[in-house]
Amino acid sequence: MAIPILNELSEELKRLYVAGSPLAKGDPRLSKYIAPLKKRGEKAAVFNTLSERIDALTNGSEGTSAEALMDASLLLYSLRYTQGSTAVTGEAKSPAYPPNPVSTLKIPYSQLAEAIDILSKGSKEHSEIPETLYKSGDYRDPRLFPYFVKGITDSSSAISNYVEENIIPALGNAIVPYLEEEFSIQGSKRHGRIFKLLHIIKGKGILPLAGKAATEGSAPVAAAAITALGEDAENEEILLAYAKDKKAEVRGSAFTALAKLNSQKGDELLLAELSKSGISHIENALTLTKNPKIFRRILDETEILCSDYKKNHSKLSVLFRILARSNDGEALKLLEKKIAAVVKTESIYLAFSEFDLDNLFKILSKGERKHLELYYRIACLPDKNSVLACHKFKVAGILFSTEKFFDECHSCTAQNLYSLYDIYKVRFASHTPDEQKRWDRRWGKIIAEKQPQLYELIYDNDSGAWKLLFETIKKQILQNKNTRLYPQQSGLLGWLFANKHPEAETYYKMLLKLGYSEKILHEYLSL
Amino acid sequence: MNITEDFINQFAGNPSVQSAGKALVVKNSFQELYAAADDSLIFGSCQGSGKNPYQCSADFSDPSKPIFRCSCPSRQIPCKHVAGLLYSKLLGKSFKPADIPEDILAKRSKAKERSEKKESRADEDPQNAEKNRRKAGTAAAKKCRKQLEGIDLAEKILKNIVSAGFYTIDRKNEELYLGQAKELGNYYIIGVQAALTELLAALSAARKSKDGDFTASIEAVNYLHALIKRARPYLNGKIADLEAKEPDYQPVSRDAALHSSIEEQLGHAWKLSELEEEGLYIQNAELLQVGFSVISDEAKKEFVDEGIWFCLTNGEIYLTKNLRPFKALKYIRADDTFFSVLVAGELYIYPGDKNPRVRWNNSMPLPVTADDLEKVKNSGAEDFTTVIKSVKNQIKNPLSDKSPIYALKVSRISTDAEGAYFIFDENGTSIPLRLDSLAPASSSPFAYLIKHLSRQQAEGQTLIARFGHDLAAEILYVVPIALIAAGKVVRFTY
Repeated sequence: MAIPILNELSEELKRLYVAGSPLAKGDPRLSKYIAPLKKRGEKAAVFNTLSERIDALTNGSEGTSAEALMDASLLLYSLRYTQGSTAVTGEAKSPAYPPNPVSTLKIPYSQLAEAIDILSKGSKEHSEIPETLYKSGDYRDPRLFPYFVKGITDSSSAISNYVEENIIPALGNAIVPYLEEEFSIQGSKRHGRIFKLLHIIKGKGILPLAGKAATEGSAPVAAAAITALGEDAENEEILLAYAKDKKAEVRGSAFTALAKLNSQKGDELLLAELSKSGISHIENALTLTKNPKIFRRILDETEILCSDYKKNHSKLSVLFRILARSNDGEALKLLEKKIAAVVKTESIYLAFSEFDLDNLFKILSKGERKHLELYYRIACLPDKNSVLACHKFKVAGILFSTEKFFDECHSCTAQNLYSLYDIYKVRFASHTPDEQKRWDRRWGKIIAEKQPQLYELIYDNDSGAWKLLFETIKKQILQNKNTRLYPQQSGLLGWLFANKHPEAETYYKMLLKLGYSEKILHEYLSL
Repeated sequence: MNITEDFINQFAGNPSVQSAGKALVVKNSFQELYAAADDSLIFGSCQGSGKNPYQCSADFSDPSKPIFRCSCPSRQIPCKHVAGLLYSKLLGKSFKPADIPEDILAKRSKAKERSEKKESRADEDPQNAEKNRRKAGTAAAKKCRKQLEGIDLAEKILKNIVSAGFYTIDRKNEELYLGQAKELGNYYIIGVQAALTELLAALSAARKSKDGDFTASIEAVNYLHALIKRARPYLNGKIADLEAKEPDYQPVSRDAALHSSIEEQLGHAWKLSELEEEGLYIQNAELLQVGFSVISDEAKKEFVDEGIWFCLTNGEIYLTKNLRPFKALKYIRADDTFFSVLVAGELYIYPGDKNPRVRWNNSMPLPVTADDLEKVKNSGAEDFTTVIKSVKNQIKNPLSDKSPIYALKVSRISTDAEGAYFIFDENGTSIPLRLDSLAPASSSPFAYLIKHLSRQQAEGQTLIARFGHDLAAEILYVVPIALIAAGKVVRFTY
């Protein structure tokens, strides 16, 4: 139960602490509380004591004022600590309970805090933590949910994309309250992404919010909301109106929704839109449409543009991506033919930048086998540098058996060997026992010669490869003019020491003989 | 002697000692390794940076209390050489059989003598015992008198500050007072010294802040004033106890020493042996951790790893606090969440309030069973009125912990018109739940999960919660730490 007089008195004492206790003498702002406190003292003796202390403060000498102020303050604060209310004001009602219980997992502080830190920072750097959480199942701990939502940023990042594409859809309804809490109808790009996720999870359930967001939302939110309106066929007329909007982003969202609804009127408008020079805003719609007339038109447009592909390469790159996503044999044949033409005549860098081949290859790599085979054939085209060879290496690793992959690609450049980590899902600086290694053991000798720092990929029992590796390292060390180990050498040697390899001592002595100081070696080899 | 990785982790102290020890083994720095025939000792010599090798040993004459020795100048015990010796054993290096060296035998003999002397004091001739007691008492009383002098000095400084007013404490004055506070270190009252330093820090922070809020400073003055007032009669009582000659004299200060934090607040660091002597320990206590957090104290420049433990043996809630100064992070191992039941060979309880701090020797983990969780659930207080009274009684004391932790049996959870959450007992008595960041610093970062509990979780379960008091809003509230429901622990902390 609040007693206002105590709060007021507290402010007065604070004033005295700041200004100095001697100012309390004869202060009417203090002495006015003595009588009311005494009155309260009739029911509770402690108020009497407090009034006496205020009296001592206002009527005491300068010499005793400090003690008097502290005595009064001590009692006052003690009294205030007994006054805390715990009662509900007004009526109390049961909250809306979710159907499923909350369950926290056995994730220790050391791991949970690190994950939260990475997700909160919105870092653009790569981190394996979201993937580790997902694969271990720990992502289901609700303590992480708000941070997954925080991890969705305005601009794309590896972390943000992974959370958006894998974790949040997997959590489904469990994370909806957190998405809804964070969502702002007037928010930035990330709020558009949040809306999109809500749409994926809630499906038709998003419609009430979509209606509001489409009209009142910021541009990115409105765009996502307009797409969501396609969940209900009754929104066709509204969507057709949006399809004529001035803003390309709005039109694009409307066309996507209309394509989902298989709207005939929408298709007519989409055909007209396809003839424009810029079509990136309708890429989604063109991918989704089932209308054969539109598909025919896409193929025709591709042929026309390819006759002079420099004229509009951005439109052409959109068309290429649409073809790459399709399952149609004719489309894929056309794509292969046209890409081959581009790659043969243009510089590779130009081809990649103007036709966004990286993105195109990403789309093909996620497709069916025929897409992967198309990807491989493109990557095998004669090239002027190693760029396509790198892609060839990656797709061959996915497409072929381990033996065939080695046979096709073992003459690759040293740089390509790093892709083995991605292909076989191996973590850097980790040791995989031989029985768990899934790659062809013949890579060992290639690695030993060309890329010794990838020694973790050599089979433990491949003594030939290890012998070759040590010879390579030894040669490098002896050829090295200054006493500074290269990272690959120190990494390997450090590993030898850590694992008590019999060669470790031999190398240590060799390095000492060559003039390396013990101090430097300890530093390099983490001894 | 059973040397395992866990044993080394437990005794080697911190990761840098462990890795340095391992490196010594890899580099073959140990010239000689020996083991006693009865397995009670391993020892050897290790090449160091000096001319002569260091002699190190691990003595297991009492297997539960191994003693580590080394001739190196490092103050760390065990040092990296001893860690290396242990790793040599673990990694299967060859130890030659040898007799126990003379110096180790001499040390063992001395230790045995000390222990026998301690035991024999109990059987000692009463007159002799009395003489020794009086001698120790005189020295202790002298120390108390010195502490009282320090208390007088502290009070003088405090009164000067209050008399002059907070606004006069500028940078120059602050340095002057800090210098005076440093003096208090000569009077065995480092707790009072720390409180004064904290007051000066609060004043400095208020001076630099935009709103110039002196609330924290006033709380610091209240604390220091209360401590000084409490310390005088306590120390005078202690002197009387120490100098008492009557055989049937009843000590006056012992109760305060053992049932409050006054000794620690003055600056005494309890030794485990002292706690043992006073009977402040439980053998084979079983503990279940219900909460864990790491708090960064920027003012003291340290991390505090706080563990909240429910004692299955007696139903009390205890705290562990591992302090890690920023400068020494490399050398002190951080605590982490613990999911099993911990069985402590000896659980030492420091004198304190509702949730005293504890430490333990010789622990081992056990899996958590449904019975364990049922015990926690049944410990929940059913009558909130009694708890509230008890909490207010504690927190009104300026020297007491302002955030006691209780287990509460929650009949239901409800919200008011503004959406604020409350827990209710069966009688309808409510306590507000604080789920936001305005709650105390050591609160629960995941308290918002309360909003997502299902009906089954929200009704008839036990909530471990920490009390807090909002002076400005005049509200006593709780912050949830863990919920024990349906055979599971839902953590609102780490």
